[in-house]
Amino acid sequence: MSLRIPTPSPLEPLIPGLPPLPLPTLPPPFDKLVEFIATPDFVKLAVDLGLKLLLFPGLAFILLYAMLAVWAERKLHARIHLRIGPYHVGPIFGLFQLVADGIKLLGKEIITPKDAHKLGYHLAPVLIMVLSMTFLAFIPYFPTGPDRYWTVYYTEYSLLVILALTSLKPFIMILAGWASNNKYTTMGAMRAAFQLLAYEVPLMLSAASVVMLAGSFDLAKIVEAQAEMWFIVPCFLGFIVFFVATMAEICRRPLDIITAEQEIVFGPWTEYTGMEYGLVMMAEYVDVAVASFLVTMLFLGGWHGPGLHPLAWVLIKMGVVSMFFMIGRSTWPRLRIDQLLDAGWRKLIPMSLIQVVIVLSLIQVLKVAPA
Amino acid sequence: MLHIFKRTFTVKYPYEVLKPADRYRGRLQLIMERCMGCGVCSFICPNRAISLTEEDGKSYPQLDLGRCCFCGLCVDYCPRAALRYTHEYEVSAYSKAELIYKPRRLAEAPKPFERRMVTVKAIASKRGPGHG
Amino acid sequence: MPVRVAWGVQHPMSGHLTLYLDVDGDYVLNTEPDVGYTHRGLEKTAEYRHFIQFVPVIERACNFDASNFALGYARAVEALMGVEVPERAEYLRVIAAELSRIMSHLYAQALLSMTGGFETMTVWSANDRELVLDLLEMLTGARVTHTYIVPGGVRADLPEGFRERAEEVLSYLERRIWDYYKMLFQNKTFQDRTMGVGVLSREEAIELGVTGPNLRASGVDFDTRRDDPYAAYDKLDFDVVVFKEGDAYTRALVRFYEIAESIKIIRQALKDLPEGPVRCKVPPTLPKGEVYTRVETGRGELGIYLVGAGGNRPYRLKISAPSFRNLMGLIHLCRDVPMGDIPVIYYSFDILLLDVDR
Repeated sequence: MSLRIPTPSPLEPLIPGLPPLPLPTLPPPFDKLVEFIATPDFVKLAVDLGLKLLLFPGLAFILLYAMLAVWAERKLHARIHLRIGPYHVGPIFGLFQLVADGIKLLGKEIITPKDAHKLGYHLAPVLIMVLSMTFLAFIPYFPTGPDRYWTVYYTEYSLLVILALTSLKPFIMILAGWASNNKYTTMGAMRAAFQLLAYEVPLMLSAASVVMLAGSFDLAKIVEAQAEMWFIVPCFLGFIVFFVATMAEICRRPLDIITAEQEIVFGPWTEYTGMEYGLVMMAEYVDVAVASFLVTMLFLGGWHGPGLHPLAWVLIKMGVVSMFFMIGRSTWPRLRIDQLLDAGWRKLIPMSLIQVVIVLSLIQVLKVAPA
Repeated sequence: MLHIFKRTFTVKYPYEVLKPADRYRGRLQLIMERCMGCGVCSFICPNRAISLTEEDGKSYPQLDLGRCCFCGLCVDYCPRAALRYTHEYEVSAYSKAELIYKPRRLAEAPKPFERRMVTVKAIASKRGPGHG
Repeated sequence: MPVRVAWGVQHPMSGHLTLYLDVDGDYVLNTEPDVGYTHRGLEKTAEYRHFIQFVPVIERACNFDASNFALGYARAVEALMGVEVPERAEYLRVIAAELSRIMSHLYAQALLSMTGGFETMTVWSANDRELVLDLLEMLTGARVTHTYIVPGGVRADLPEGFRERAEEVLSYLERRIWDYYKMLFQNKTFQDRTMGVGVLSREEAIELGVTGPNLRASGVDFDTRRDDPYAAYDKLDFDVVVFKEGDAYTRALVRFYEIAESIKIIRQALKDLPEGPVRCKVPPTLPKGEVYTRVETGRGELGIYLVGAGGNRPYRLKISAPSFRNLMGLIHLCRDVPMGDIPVIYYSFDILLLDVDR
C-alpha cells in the first residue's frame, strides 16, 4: 500500500450525524496534512502501519525471532559441543534466555570512555539497530491480494534499496570505533570497513544474476517469477556466493574476525556496556533475520509452496536458512583477516561473474526468463 | 555435525554431582579420641593452616580452611591416623572467620550428599560417554 | 607509524602473559613480553620449607602438568640423598607422569583451537580431559594438584578397579583422538591458520634454547625420556615423534602424536608393574651438596638445581622452567607477522605463564 496525499476536499465529519470538528487553520502545507489526518484514510493508514511496525515485521516479530534464534543457536552450538545450552530460564529448558539477558543488560551501567566523542559514541549502536530494522521495511513478505503485498513500504526497486543500505554499515562501524577513543577499536573498525567493502561486490553480483533472471528489481516480482522453479536451480553458484557474502556482511562466524578475541576484544564495539551492547547484539540477530529473508526471497522461492498459508512458508524457509547460519558458526574455525579478504576478492568474485555469464546465456539461448 | 545426537557430557550441577573417587581429598576430619596433640600435622603443613588449640583441657588441631591446600601430608604423617579425608568439597563460607574450623567442628561427620550422584559411564558406546 | 598495543592480561585470549606489540598497520614489528603477573616467589619459598613440605608447592608451579614437576623435584632430592626408589614406585611414577602429560597436551590442543575460533574442539578436548582427570583422581586423590610423587616413592598404591577403568578410558581415547585428527588437523581453515605460521628452523631452535615438543617439531631428535632416562623409561618401549617443518601446525601435531605415545606407555607400565613396596624411607635432612636433574614435562624439559646445606630446608632451589625457555622462541618468532598470527604462535608454543614466573 503506498502513501498518497489526497487532493484537498472539504472536511467530512468522521462520524456521520455530528457537526464537523472545529480544526485550527494553519498555513500550507500543514493544512493539507491536518485535513488528511481527519479523513478515515488516515486511520486506515495508521492502523495498517501500526500493525506492520509493531507486529510483523516490526517490534514483536523481532523480539520473538531474536528470542527463538538466540535459544536455538545456543542450544545447537551446545549440542555440537556435547553440552547443554541455557537450562534454567523459561518453559522448555531455557527459552527465555534472551529475556533474562536483556533484563540484566538493562540494569548495567552505561560507561562512556573518557574523552570519547559523546554524540558519536552513543549514537552508533542506535544507528546500527535502526539500519538493521530498516532493511525489514522494504521486503515484501507475502501477498495479501492481487498485486498487493504485506510490506511497510512498497517500491519497485526494493532489492536495490536494500543493497544500497548495506553499504551504510561500514560507516556506522567506523563511527563506533573512532568515537570510542581507543586505538584498538579504531583499528578494528578499519578492518570492518575492509571486510564489508570486499564482500559487497560479490553480494551485488550474485543478486544481479537473480535480477536478470527475474527481470525486475522488485522483490515481489522476483518471488512471483519463481512460481515454477526456484532460482536456486539455475543460480546455484550464485546461491553459494550470496550465502557466504551475507555471512561476511553481517559478520558471523566463520567470517567474524573483526569481533573476535584476537587483537582486541570485540572490534569496534569493545567499549560498549549495558543496553548499548544489547542493541549491538540484537542488531546482529536482526541482520541474520534479514539475511535469511533475502536468501529465501531471492533463491528459495519466497512464499510459494503447496498447502500452507504463504506466510507460513516464508517463515519455515527463513528458519531453515537461519539454522544454516548457526551451523556455520559451530563448525568452522575463523579465517584470518587477510585470508578473509583474499577469499572475497579472489575467489568469490570470479564465481559470481561465472554465475552472471551462465544466467545471461540462459536468458539468450534458452529464452528462460521474461525479458 | 552428528554430535547433536550424542549424549551430552555435562553434569547438571548443582542438581547432580559427580561421584568422587575413594581417595578424594575433601575436607579434613578429626577423630578426637585418637588425637594426642603431638603437633606433627601442624609442623608438616606447608601453609601453616593447622595450629594447635586448647579444647577440654587437651590440645587439638584447628584448621584454617582458607589456607589449606588439600595436599594430604597431615593425614600421611599423623602417628595415630587421627586425621582423615572426607568427600565434602562444598565448604564455602561467607567470611574468613567462618573458615577456621575449631576442633569440635572439625570432628563433625561429613554431611551426606542429598543429590543424585553420577559417574561417567558407557564410555565405549557409540553415543559417546555420558553421565548417569 | 608503529603503535604500541598491549596484548595483555585484560584480554580474553592472552592467558596471563602481556605482550607489548609494536604494530604497523597489520604487521607486528617487535614484541616485548612483560612477565611477572603470576610471580609467586616459589624458589624463595623453598628456602623456608622442609623439603617434604615443598612438594605441594612445586606442583603449583604448573597447574596442568603437576606430576611431572613433582617428579623432577623428587628425583633431585633423591639424587642428593643417594636414595634408591623401589621398582614399583618407578612404574607408578611413570603412570602418573604420563597421565599428566596427556592432560597437558589435551589442554594445549583445546587452547590452540580456541584461538582459531573453533570452540567445538576446545570443548571436546576439555571433555575428554575430564575422563583423564577422573582417572587421576582415582589414583592420586585429587584432580589437578596430585601430590602423589614424593621423595622416596609414591604415596599410595593402585586402587582397586583402576586397571579396568584405565583400560576403558585409554581405549576410548585412542579411538577419539582420530576424530580430533579429522576435525582439527584435516580442517582446511585450521591448516590455513597454522601452516607456515611461526616457522622455527632447526638451528634457530637449538640456538634459542627451545625445548620439548617445539624442539621436536623443528627436526631435533631429542627427548629426555629416551636420551637421559629416569623412572623406568629405559625399560619401556616408545617412539619419539619428530617432524621437520617447525611451524605451528607441526607443533600441534607433535603434541597430538605424543598423546598416542603416552597411551602406549601407560598400557605397558600397567602390564609390567612389579610387586613391592611403593615408598621407602628417606633421611630427614638434606646432605650438603648440589645436584641438577632434568625431566621431560608436557611443555619441555624441566631442570631442577638443588643445593642442600645439611638442614631439612634446601639452601637454594632453582627451577629452570620449560615455558621460560620457549618464551625466547616466541619473542624471536613474533617479528613481521600479521597480527592475527600472534595468538596462534603463542598457543602453539604452549607457554603457560605459571612456569615462566614461578
